[in-house]
Amino acid sequence: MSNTKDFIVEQIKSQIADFKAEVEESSVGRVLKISDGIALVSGLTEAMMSEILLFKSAHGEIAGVALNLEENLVGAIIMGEFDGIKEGDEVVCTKRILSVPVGEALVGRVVNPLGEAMDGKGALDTKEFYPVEKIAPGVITRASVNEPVQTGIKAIDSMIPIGRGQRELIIGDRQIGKTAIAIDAIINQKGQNMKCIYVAIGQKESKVADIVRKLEAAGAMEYTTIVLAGASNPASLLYIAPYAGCAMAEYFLDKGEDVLIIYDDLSKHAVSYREISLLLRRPPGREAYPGDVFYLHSRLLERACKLNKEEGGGSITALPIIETQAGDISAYIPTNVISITDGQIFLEPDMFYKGNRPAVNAGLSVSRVGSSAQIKAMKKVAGKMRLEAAQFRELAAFAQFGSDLDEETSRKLERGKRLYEILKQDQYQPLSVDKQVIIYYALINKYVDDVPVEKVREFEANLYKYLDVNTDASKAILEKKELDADVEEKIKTVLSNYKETLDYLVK
Amino acid sequence: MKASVRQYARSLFELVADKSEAEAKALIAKFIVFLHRRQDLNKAEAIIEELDRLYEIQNGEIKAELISARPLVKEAKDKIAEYLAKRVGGGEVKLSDSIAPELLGGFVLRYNGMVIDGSLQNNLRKFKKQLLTN
Repeated sequence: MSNTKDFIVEQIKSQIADFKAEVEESSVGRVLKISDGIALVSGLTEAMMSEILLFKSAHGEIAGVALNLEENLVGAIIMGEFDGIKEGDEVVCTKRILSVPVGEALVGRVVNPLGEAMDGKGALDTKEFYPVEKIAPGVITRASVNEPVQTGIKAIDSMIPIGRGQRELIIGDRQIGKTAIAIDAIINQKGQNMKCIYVAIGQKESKVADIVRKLEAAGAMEYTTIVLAGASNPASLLYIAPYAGCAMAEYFLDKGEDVLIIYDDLSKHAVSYREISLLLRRPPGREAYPGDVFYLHSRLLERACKLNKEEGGGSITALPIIETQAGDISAYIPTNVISITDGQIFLEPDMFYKGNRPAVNAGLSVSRVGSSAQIKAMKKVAGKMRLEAAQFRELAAFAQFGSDLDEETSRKLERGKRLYEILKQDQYQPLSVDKQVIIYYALINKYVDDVPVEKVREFEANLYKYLDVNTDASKAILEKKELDADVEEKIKTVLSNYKETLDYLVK
Repeated sequence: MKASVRQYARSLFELVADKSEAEAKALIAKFIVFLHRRQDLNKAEAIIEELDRLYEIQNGEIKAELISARPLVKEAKDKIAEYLAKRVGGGEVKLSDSIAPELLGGFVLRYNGMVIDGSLQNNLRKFKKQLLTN
């Protein structure tokens, strides 16, 4: 016991001996006005753009960030509790640009946008800092997208494939399964050499707690970081959250790793930026958003990239989420983000209420680069399937009026119905790529035609169980990634063998 | 368009810069009429302050405020003024001093929106922070 006491005394002594008294010089100013997380400060002649400012209030030092540099005053946002700051309080420049801690220690943790732990698992052991705002990698350093991100969602991996380094927007009304798609994608990254970062912007904290629990249960927190700026946090934290998350992702990018980052959601981010801008008296534009709201998102999403071999070959895949009001994708923020991203996954209320979940509208959803990243086997089956789906959509509208249909048409309709059954998928049930290839192969090669529509999901579920035991075909697909005669033969065998065990087939 | 205090001060400063005393007097009288016409007479005091600052900058004068825990001897003050003049690269340093016992020791020097803090209070605060983080 006395040993520890001596040790502590010794430690304190050495600390005191090590401390050097210093004279420090800094640029100072005084608070002129303070309101809702925004402060106007006089003086601060040396302040830089997005420099950290320290507000010396009665409750200790509070950090802020300089956003407006004007002739004789500085507009700053305050990162945290601004209740203690009074008019006339001293403000000091720190000569540091806003940055966040990055590193391996963040994996598996829940942090706020300033990189402070929020999960009660103790302080983070990080040494490196990355600036929150950074210019995106240039043309020379980039490579084209050529590797897939397997989301494990059948409708997406086949028809709207996403590649590593792509930016794919998830858009739809509230409560329609946007976050569900993102979470499924994270869960499916297990063993795929992918770090995940989920940035919650203005979300209910109960929802985030739920997501953390689900990810933990699925073992997905081992490679995931959650950046949380909740609904009760000030707008300043919401505003920097996606940039902070991206900075954390860039640490792994620089090490040549692949990262999947989800911004949930950017409409709330735009709203928080609007709040800040209006309080800083920047002129409002359309829907009262400031003039630079396009740049707000374009500079963020441009940081998603696939680097070439010389730069380490890492990638950041971004899945921004946008919430629409009553399916209106022609509002200001949705059109902006649609034009920035490399495609969008459009979720539709009509499909959702009909029970087609995930409610992906295959007609309005596109992916501009991902198809070059699909594995060859998937490309082969998905191409035919997409055609099948398009024909079905056309015929279904037409067939509502006429009752007499020729044989060809009615066969297409029947297969289309089965296709839509297959596209249905429960939450938290991502599906591996080999099984996806097999089920699509079965569909386009008429193996599902004699299964009654209401039995398709049962047929499918049992097929996967069967494939878990008879792994020949799956292994061949994963190994060759191609659909050559040999692999095709194996798939045919396993499908016919499986079908022989069924008793509900229509003759 | 409304002109700012700084704009008024700068234009007046530039107007009278190379004029004789009589000319300057006439110009200033006109300037006051001009201010009155623009209904900006209430800014007069701020303009005078700003002019003062501009004049200081032109002559390389530095106004500084020295705060210490105990009264300082003249030699020490002179030394500080000399140091500041060298550091900023200006001419004369006008030092005004005051006493603040809560600094405990050392001094704080304020000039042109900058602070040089060498007080014991600040060092103790930093030491506390270091003890808490390690």
